[in-house]
Amino acid sequence: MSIQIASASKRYTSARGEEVTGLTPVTLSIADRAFVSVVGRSGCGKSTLLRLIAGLETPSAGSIAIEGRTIAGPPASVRYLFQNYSESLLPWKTVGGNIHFGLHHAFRSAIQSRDRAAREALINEKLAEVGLAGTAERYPSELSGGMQQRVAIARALAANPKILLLDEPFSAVDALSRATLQDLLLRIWQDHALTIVFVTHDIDEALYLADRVIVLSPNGGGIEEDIDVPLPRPRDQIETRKTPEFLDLRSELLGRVLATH
Amino acid sequence: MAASSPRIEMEVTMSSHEHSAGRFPIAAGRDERRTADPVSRRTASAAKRYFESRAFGWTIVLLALLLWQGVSVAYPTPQLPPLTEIAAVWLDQAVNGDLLTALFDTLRITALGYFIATLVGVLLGFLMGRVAVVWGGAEPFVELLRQIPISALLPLLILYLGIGDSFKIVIVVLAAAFPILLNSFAGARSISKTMRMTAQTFQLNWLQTQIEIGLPTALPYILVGLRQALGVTLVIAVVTGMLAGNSGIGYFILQAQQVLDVKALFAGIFTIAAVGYLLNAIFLIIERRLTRWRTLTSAQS
Repeated sequence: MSIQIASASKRYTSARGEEVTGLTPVTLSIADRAFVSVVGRSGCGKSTLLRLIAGLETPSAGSIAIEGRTIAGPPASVRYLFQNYSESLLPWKTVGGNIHFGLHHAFRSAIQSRDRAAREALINEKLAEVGLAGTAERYPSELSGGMQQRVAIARALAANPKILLLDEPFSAVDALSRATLQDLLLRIWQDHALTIVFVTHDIDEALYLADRVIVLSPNGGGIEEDIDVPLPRPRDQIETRKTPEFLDLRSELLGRVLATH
Repeated sequence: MAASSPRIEMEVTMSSHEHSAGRFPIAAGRDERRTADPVSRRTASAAKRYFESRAFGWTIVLLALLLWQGVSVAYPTPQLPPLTEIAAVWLDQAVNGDLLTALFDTLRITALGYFIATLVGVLLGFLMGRVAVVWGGAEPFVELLRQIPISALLPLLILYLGIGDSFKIVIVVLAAAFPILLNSFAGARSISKTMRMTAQTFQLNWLQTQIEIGLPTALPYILVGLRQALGVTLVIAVVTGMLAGNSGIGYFILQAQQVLDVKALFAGIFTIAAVGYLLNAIFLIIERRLTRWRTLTSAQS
């Protein structure tokens, strides 16, 4: 599904009563099935932008629309993955229980009428998709960070989303798991025909994954750059990252992010 | 230096383990000379396990009781009757006397008071943590009431309620509700922003968020409050029996004191200790079952 952001801005009132700019007006159109990365320095408003699209916050001015329809509150077609996945999973539920939570709240009546066996088959199918087959009975705290984020991905997929929003989802996992998770995300993006907005502070990650990279100005200054990434797909962790095109884009992007003050 | 030494020891143990597994048969001979023989090592670790477990503490209790029995038999005084005689009195009081009636009366007050305190404490504490209006409205009242020692309220309560069950139950509720309320409040406040946003993205409404996210998150805190309250509840229930002077195990002890029946006095005291211990043990089992997920930790991180 496509996303239209029309002069959306966000202002906060701080605890002292001062007006703080979260994001100056942003206008952005994201095509159906696009993979867009958003990068920028800390405090540039990348997470604010993502939360606006998710309907977790309402814009102070302007509007956010999905498929041309202005949103009010979190839309059912959108799922959000958090950086601190361990706080997003329900620790008192098993992995299977967490996926069921996703299923249940996405298709309330439809799922309840289904029998237990069908439900479990669906849960196992989602787990297999993220490479976690056979972990349904375990608790999130028994899994590594990378595996927990996989559970969060499986739970999001269980709700059959059209748009996936990810807020620095792999920044807390180790480098090797991160590479695997990036490829997993690309596969899921293709298989489920998703539109993805991916916030990261890692330029390499942004380039490796996306068709388009948005650079935000510091202190909520809005869009600084909008760069196309014409790297061929399927991408490969080793081959793609050593092509001259990748390295050129990387230098260009890094230069622009570093130049922003 | 001090910090690095345990690590070295651990590495030595690991390598000797590999050797004894037979991978390095030549090195095995040298290894045996270096470490103590396996039998004495096994004894040492069994002793360590014993001393670090509750079995050690129970042995001390048993020894103390034996000492009591020995001293009381060797030097008979009315103040320290032998345990065997206390046991005989306990049995007699349980079968023919009022001990069990008194105990059940106290337990009835405990259970009723605890139940009401749980209901009020969890509901109000949790809502104070989740709903700003409830917090704003209730916080000053709760904080004021909390400062008043229960003993200061006793004359008024007796004036209003007499010395019947309602008086005792109100006192128990007053004593037990605050630890439950304060911990429920803390638990309700502990829900992370990420968790709240997760509930939003899955489109949970307010009630669903509280039931499916809020209460389970707060549960470990609530259980801490419930356990603190449980100890207080029994103590206060016993004391109310003494204050009202009409029923319960507290009254049983008071009566024993008035007729200088030291054995019955001890019988009452031991009963309370045993019941309190039992209640706490049952509580711990339930608590562990409810929060099983918390004791599991990652093997990989």
